[in-house]
Amino acid sequence: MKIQGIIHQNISQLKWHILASLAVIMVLPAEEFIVGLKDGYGFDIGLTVISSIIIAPFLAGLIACANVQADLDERRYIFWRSKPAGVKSSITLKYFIGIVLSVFILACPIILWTIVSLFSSKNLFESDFWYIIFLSFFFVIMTYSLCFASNIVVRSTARSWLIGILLAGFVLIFPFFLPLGYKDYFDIYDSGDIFMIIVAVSIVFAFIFSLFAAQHDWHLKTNLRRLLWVIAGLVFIMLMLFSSQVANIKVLQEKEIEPLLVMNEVRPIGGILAENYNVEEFRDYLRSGEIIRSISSGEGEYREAFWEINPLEYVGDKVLFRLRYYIDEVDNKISLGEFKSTPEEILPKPVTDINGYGQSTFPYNDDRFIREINGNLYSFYIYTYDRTVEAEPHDRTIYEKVFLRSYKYTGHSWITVCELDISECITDDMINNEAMRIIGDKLFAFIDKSFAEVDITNPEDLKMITSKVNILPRQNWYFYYMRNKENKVTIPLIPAEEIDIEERIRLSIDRFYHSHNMYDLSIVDIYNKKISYFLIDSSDGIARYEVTGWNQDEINCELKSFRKLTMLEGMTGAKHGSDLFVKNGRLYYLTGNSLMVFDVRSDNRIRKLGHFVRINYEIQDIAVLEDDNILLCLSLDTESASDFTKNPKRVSMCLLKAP
Amino acid sequence: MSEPAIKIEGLHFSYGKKQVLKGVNLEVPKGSIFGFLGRNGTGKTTLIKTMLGLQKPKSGKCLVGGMDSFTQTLDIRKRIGFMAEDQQMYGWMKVKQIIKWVAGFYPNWDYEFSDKLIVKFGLSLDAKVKELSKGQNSSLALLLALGHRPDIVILDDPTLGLDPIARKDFLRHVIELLQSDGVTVFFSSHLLYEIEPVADYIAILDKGVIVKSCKTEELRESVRRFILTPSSNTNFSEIPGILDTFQTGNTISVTIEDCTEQKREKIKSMSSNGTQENELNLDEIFEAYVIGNKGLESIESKI
Repeated sequence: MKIQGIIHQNISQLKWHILASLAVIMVLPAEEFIVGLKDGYGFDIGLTVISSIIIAPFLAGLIACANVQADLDERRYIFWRSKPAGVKSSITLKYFIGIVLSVFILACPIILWTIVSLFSSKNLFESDFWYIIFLSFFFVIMTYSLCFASNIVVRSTARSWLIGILLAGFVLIFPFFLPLGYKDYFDIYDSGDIFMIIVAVSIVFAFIFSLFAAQHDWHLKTNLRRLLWVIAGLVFIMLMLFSSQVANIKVLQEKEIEPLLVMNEVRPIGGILAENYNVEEFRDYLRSGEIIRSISSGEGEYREAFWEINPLEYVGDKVLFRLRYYIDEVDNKISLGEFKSTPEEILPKPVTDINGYGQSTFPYNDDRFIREINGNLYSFYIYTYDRTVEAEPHDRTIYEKVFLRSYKYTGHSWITVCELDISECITDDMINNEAMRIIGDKLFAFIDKSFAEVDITNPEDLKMITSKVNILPRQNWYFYYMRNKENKVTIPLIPAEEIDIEERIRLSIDRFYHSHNMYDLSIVDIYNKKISYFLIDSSDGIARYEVTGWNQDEINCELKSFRKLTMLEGMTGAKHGSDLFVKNGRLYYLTGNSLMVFDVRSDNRIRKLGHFVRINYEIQDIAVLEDDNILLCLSLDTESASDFTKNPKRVSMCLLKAP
Repeated sequence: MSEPAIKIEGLHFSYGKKQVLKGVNLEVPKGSIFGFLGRNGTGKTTLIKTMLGLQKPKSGKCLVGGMDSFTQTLDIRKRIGFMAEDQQMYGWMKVKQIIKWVAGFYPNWDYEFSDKLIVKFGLSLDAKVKELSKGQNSSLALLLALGHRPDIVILDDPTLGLDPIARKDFLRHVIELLQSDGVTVFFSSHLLYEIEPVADYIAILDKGVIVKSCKTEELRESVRRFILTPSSNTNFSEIPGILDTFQTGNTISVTIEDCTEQKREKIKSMSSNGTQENELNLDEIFEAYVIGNKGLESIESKI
């Protein structure tokens, strides 16, 4: 047997397939390259190369099928098999020629990328690059092998390609079948070579199987229906696994909640009167001829209506919903129990009358920052009063007064019970930027670069412990986001010596990254004397930093691990308004309509435990219960600007099982 | 007697549960042209594939040129020239490319001979295989089967799909090239008139078994058809080797294999007014073996 002749024959019969595959894989990088060359935008074709590389396994499958089909078509098979050609050597040769051609097709855009990078001085050789290349070649060879084997048995190009691709997909998710506790795709990559071994075994198996099948002329004489059943079965298995990747957090119960509307009546000088309506009441309100949304340019009196935001607030070990209800969770079922408080007829404490000043509050939304103290519900707000003075080049806002006020719930309304003047925290360059946290019986109120430590043992008698003025750096506006992917970060340690150092570090980190809801939630995990915190990276990933040391003034942190989101995970939610927090060693990542939960304590990795997605819905708020079950308040985005009653918003409460 | 070119003993083969060959026994003498007859789907191609070592039999033995077809496959194929029915080659190749490619498999390829054949068959070296007519395609396939000067040539329904002129041409070539050369030709077909003029030996395969295998002349001599009007005490079951019976009015035609004087006398004695004895052509003999009713029950009941 002349090897040269066989190689020539193989390449010749695949030449059109190779050219077509090259055209498909090179079209985007080549276009990008030409445009870059013409317009001079740095020649970076990386993204298009990566998107082209994704189709390489599919093309490799096609090459495999064409390669086999050209020689194993039944009548042609007898033709060459009747010659003294050893089937094993012929198939081996054919197999490797096809692999070389497939790898060549994959290599073309990568070579172009490498050349372009030399021109553009881009640092191509980052670890990610090699990882992608390595995986791509591996997947290409695997898909090729499986399609090759499949075509030897199923002698039809289209069917065998489909089966080969499905098998390749199956191999990719096969590790989830093994008792390895895999839940997250990154487990596979992170946990060493098991995945690579599975892929390698599938390649070797496909090759050996091909040799045997060709030698014994095994081929299925299936009818299309049977084949379709097999395909449907495989697709079904894959979809099940696929869905377990996308939304594998079990919903224990879902309960529809009546949507409420809030009508704000804004008066010319300060003061907003807010009233709640259900849809029926609001309809009556409309019938009465009142005009809604007569919004002026910002001055004067106007009314506006909007759907109520439905917060879930932690109050001790319970979660409070819409202020009035406790979430009662028994046997994985939720019910809304009305909060019973002993009505107490007390008179509100008069607050300082500061007429003529602009007023802002923190927290920005109502029904936040509620605590149960001595059997009563209290809430705390920072009130800031300012005035605007004319100045060049811009008008200037002068902050005059800042108060911390405590409110008590009396069963039907909140009344002011105490007011503490913390205006000493005001600095000349102050901006409206507040935060709060309660640690034990102390409340920390952050006013831009200052903070006040207040004793709240008796919320009706707030006592200033200490205040530190102008000692903190201004907070980071980029919530939770990594800045420039620093490997080492130094965070100022808040000088609150009275509290435990671990809590102090937690407070400092949360405040540093402007945890706007830091009064309830934290991005810091403290476990086994190890302190870690987590940030979102703008390129769709989650970073884990570890506190490596601290001194009187600073905390030193180092980037320890990074978990990129998969393409699928990245697709399932908007990144704007993403939220991140840690509770009981689990990291919760909310992105609009999806929630991902990660384990952050095993092996110091960020390991996904579960994923919940509800298309078209928005997760309004989240509460993690004591047993790690998750409560979500969801709303269907059907808001109508003109008439709320025609298409009422749908709100539901979801209890999710701890993943 | 010299060793047969092909020797098959008790060969069984099945596709899954479907038994295709049920104990085939066959001997093909060296240097003969051996006609292998059988209806479509009786297992001819299956037997040939087994001879080529393309599939493993369930049981039995198959020796080609004295070598085991399954363990010495490559050695056998070097000595065999094979041409399949409706042979599919690589359409994108040119004639010269496919000759070169096939020649690469054989260390003893006779280029001089293949060049002669190209001229004889009127093939153009630069023509693409897919552009050849069916007749030219068959000629090329024959060339590729013979170019290495094989001892044994296996032709599996080689003229399938050819028009009568192309078929005659092809057979002429086979006879010219092989008959005088001492090459054993195993010629499988279901077209009897194609085999009759060339075959020295005939074997008939039916339902997975060889129902007859002998010299062509012997076959012609031994099978006879008698037309008679039976007398009242007729009992055809007394005559062994009845292949077929057919009744037209009061007349019955009886086809018998291995027709001896004794059988002839016996049949004559069963007739009430004389017997007519006819020779049969290969077509009719094949028909009698393959679709003959062999039994007499239906006729006896009518008499």
